[in-house]
Amino acid sequence: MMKTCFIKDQDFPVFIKNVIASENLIGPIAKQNKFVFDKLDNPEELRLDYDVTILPPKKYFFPPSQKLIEFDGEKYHDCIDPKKIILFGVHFYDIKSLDMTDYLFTEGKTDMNYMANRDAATIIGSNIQNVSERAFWGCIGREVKPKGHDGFITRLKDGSGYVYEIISHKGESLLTYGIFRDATEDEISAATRVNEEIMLECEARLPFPTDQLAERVRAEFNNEELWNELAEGCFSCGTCNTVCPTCYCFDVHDQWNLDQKSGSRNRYWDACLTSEFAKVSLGAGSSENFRSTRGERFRHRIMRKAVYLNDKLGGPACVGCGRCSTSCTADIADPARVYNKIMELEKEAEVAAQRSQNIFMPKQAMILRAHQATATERHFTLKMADGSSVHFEPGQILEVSLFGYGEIPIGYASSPTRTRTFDIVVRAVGRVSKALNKLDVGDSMFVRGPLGHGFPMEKLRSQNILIIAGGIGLCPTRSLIQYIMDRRDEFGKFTLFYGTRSPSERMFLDDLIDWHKSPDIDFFETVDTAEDSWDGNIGVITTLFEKSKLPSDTRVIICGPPVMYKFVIRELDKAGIPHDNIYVDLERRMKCGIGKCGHCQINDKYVCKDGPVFPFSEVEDLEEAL
Amino acid sequence: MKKDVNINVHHLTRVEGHGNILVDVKKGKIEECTWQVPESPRFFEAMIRGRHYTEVARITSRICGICSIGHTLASVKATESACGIEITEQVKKLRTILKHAENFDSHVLHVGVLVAPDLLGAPSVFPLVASHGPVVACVLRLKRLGHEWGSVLAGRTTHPTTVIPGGFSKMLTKKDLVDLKEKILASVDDINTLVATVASLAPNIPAFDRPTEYVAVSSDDEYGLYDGLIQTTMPDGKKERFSVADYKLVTNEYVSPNSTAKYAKHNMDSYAAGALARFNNNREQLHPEAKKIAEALGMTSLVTNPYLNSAAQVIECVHSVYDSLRLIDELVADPDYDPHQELVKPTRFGNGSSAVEVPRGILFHEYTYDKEGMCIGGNCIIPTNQNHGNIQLDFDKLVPEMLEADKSEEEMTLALEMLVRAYDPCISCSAHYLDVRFKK
Amino acid sequence: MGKPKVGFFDFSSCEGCQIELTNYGDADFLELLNHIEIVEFREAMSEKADHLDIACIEGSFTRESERKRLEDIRARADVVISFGACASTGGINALKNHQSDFKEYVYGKDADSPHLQSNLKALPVEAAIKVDYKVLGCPMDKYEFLNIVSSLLHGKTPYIPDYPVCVECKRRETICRFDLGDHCLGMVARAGCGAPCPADGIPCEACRGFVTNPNEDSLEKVLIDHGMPEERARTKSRMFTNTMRSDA
Repeated sequence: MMKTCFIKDQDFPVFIKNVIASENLIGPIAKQNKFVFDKLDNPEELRLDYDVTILPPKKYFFPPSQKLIEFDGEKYHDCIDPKKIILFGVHFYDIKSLDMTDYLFTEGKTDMNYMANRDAATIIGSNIQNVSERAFWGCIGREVKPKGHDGFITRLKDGSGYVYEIISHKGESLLTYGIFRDATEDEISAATRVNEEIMLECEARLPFPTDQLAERVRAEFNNEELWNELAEGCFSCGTCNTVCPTCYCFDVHDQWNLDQKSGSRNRYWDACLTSEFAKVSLGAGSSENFRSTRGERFRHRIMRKAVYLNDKLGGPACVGCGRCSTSCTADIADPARVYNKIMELEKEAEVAAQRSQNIFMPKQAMILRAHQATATERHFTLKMADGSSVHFEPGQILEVSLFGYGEIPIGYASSPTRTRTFDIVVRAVGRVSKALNKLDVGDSMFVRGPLGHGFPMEKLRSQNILIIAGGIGLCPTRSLIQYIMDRRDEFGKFTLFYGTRSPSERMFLDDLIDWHKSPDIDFFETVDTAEDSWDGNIGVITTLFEKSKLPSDTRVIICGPPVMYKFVIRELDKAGIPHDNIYVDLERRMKCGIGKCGHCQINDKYVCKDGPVFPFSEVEDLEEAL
Repeated sequence: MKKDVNINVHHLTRVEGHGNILVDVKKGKIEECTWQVPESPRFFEAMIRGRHYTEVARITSRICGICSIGHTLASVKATESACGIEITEQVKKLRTILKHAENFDSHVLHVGVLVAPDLLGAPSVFPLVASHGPVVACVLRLKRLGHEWGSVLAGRTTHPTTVIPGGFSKMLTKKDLVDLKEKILASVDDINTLVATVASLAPNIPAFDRPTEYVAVSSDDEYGLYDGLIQTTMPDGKKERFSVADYKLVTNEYVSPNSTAKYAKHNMDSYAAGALARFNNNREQLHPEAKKIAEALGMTSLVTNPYLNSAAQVIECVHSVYDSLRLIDELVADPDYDPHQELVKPTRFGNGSSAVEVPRGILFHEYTYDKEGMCIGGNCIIPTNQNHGNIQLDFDKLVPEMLEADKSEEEMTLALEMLVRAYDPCISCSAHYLDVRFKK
Repeated sequence: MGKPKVGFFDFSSCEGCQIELTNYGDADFLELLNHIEIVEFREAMSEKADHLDIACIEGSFTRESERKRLEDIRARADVVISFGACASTGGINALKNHQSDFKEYVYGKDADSPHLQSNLKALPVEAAIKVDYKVLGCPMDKYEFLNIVSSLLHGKTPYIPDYPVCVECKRRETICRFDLGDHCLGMVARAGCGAPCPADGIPCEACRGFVTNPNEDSLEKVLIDHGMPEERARTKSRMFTNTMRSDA
């Protein structure tokens, strides 16, 4: 059902007017200095430029108070009576939240008091034109995509009109109310750009991937001091719950009508931050409160959002709308602030732990898999002997050693999205590497890391990416390639150039086959020289530039033998790529890995500590760098 | 006839607040004949000390639950005067419609629920549910109209929310105004029923006359309620006006040894405030529909029977209905009407006073604020207090007259109770104890 | 069983909560009378009763001389309800409780006159007699009162929320007073009223009293952070919750 249409700006109000005339149209409207979803009476009320509404749209499916049953003496009936509505102009984070409540209300036994309303609704998303101050949807749970909507409308930047992406029959049925035509390719890509660009306008308030969140937050569960400090100003007012699009707790009360015979059973939004929430009566006026302190209640909410539901929802139960944060009177509810505080705790703990640690002490790692990739290169998959997970950024390095032989720096060759294991490739060239290459499954190595700085992920997200890997340069970049493939939606066009001297030096052959087949990556390969059996491109790596059109806003990563850089950068200059957007992965003799021993120093920089990845603009004028 | 009479009505019923009637006649000689007000003191003057000017009306509103709209309006007006705030003409009109709502609501309650049982010989309205069902239902419907009419403007009728210094915190849209008009118009039949019922019971209203001085808000522009000067009318019809800031020249409060509430007097030994006082001061400015009712009830000139205060209230109900309809029409026709207008901000902080007609009569508020807008003092003079002296003098004339006519103790008790009720006293108000100073 | 006999009594108050009973309108009020019998109600009727199933007491306990009247009501009634803020928490009358000079301030040298005999503090009715249930609010919410009456008619403990007014503001999507440059006590005020005041454009003054365990320190800080002078912020919650403050 993917079809994309276009409506001109001047035709849009008439479209809305026609929908209002025939349907029950709900959209964002202004309420003093805020916005709310409400029924529209005329097109002028619709404010698609809203930043965020006070309450999320869940109020239409799960109202603040809802009759479940009406009774009259012994007679009773349910109150499911869905009204057909069109919910128009919903931002993607609210669609995601509806996806979550859809799941939660249908998981196990379906709650039709919610789902009947949900089924009766048509949901049309719209692009975000203004970012609310406390929003962090740009950086939380990006791996979870909205899916519960019937259409999505994007206002083009030039004001010419709106691109309407139809997702379901319900979404298609709106076409009859306005003058739509098929959208052109240019219009569709302009709409894509609008939606990509707004993601960058949302301040990246979580400087770490959200998949690390659950584990770290859970680790602080018993840190009573932390939670009490975070909740010190808390009024237990439940506002953070009440405005949250993914909160769905409720309480049920019966009520008699004045005739004292008939009445209703009603449910009301409840809030776990209020002191009553976990209180049970023990009779005779006494009671027990299972979360009696502000800190315990505050912790429960953060756990609900960041930890408890993650497995069910595929990510945190938080969409980054920022409502709790803006509406908390004491201004303590902001989850981004809480998460960052917890992450910093970890960092502080790390610093403290590091000080008490000898920097040269490695940890044991076990070989899970070993595979001879080429004549000289051996590919290992390792896990830490103590079972701990590994957290690194693509492009970072580690020191690998064998006692009696020595230590060498090697880049991670797998994606950090796989935290239980990691890959390295060892080229047998020296004393240490030759010894390492003799190891097999079940043997141990001793590792220190991660060390240095990897690829700048926050600058690469949402961008078009080109990776140019020469020879063994594919090993550290494989970490980034896998990362991008695992989070493909977070990046733009993705191209890979891989060059080796001959086909026999090609590594990761299974990967290469996959990448050639995958629609997610434009993969071009070349070899300098080859036998007749090679049916691929022959020539130096720069010959690949003719094969791919390179947008000038592409971010480029280069990793390969030093001789390759000069020629590649000449090609990139031709394509108009600014040097700020080029990153190079430098190789030097590294010993200590912590910027002390001096071996890898280039001018004032240490490759092991400041690199090995550098923006090209930072090192191009540095003597000895390239 | 030299008989003994002993009447001791402790906590008179069907009035707002607590009052006692004590009559002691020994062998035909009146030893005691007093109207006592023993309500608990509440110290409002101490309460408003140190409170912000935006909070003061919310505090003084709590002086009285039945006329809290009037207290709020008087308080807000006095505060606006003290803060140099000039409200817009539209806000003034809306507040006048609100004033009408309160008077209507209160008069309906008083006449229909508190006085009617006397005229129908019942101890309360509850037995009337069975005996006079349709009339009680009609009264309750009108009561609901008064409540809804006031609520739509003031947020609620008991301790209103929206009336604040500088305007309204939430103002009616034109559509709200049109809806209100429809609602009032839909009740015209019930209003006519009430008027006809009271007219039919008019013969049951006791005949008694005691000319006195009548004090009310008066304006050249309209029948004085929300705004105007202070005016007094003497029994001979002579009128005199005073500016609001000079209210103490009129009230001249003094302490009676019989009561904890203060009494007031002006040219004569006492004066009357309330619907009858307003009628006697301003009847020429009544809406023609109200004038018609006055004529039908035979009230065409100065009326000196205090029992007819209830009749004057019915006349005012009709006036409030039609004058409100007029004001609504004006606001709806006003092209500049802006329901989102900003509140007018204070331009200074100092002293200010106000006079507003509440159902029971003229009400004065006065406040002084320091330069931060915090209250440093205040004074309220309540209509019921102003009537206490007049009630006492009515007693002094009525009791000998009834002794003369050889009325039984029961008849005398009822007549005295009915007299007090006719004034519709609001004793919670009168015991607010703002600025009370006892004589030595 | 006949209809429960209900009486209404008033002490120091504005009697506005009783007035609210007249605001149900014809249909609801007459229906209510099908289920209870109002046997004593000085404001509206002259009849008196010996025994009461439910006594609703409006107003604060402010004079020692009122104790006997309260005890008399308690002795006659099976269930005693403190009716409205004055009776339940001391209400507005307690606004002067922290002052030691209010009598002298108001009465001058006549402060000791026997007429003016008064407790130093305005107290809730439960300071004198046992109270079974409380109807909160100034004025009380007439529909909440109906729910309480319904519960009692069915022998069920009435449900009164113990969460702050913020919950109800958010449920009805009222813009926070703080977002409009104003202040509010909704964060510490007990809900159940439906939050009419902020919806009408004025701050919540906590007329239903505090929630259990109000965060008074945070309240003061938030008020000051939003521009309120410190002294005013410190005394702000005296209007309706003076008997419930930690310094009471």
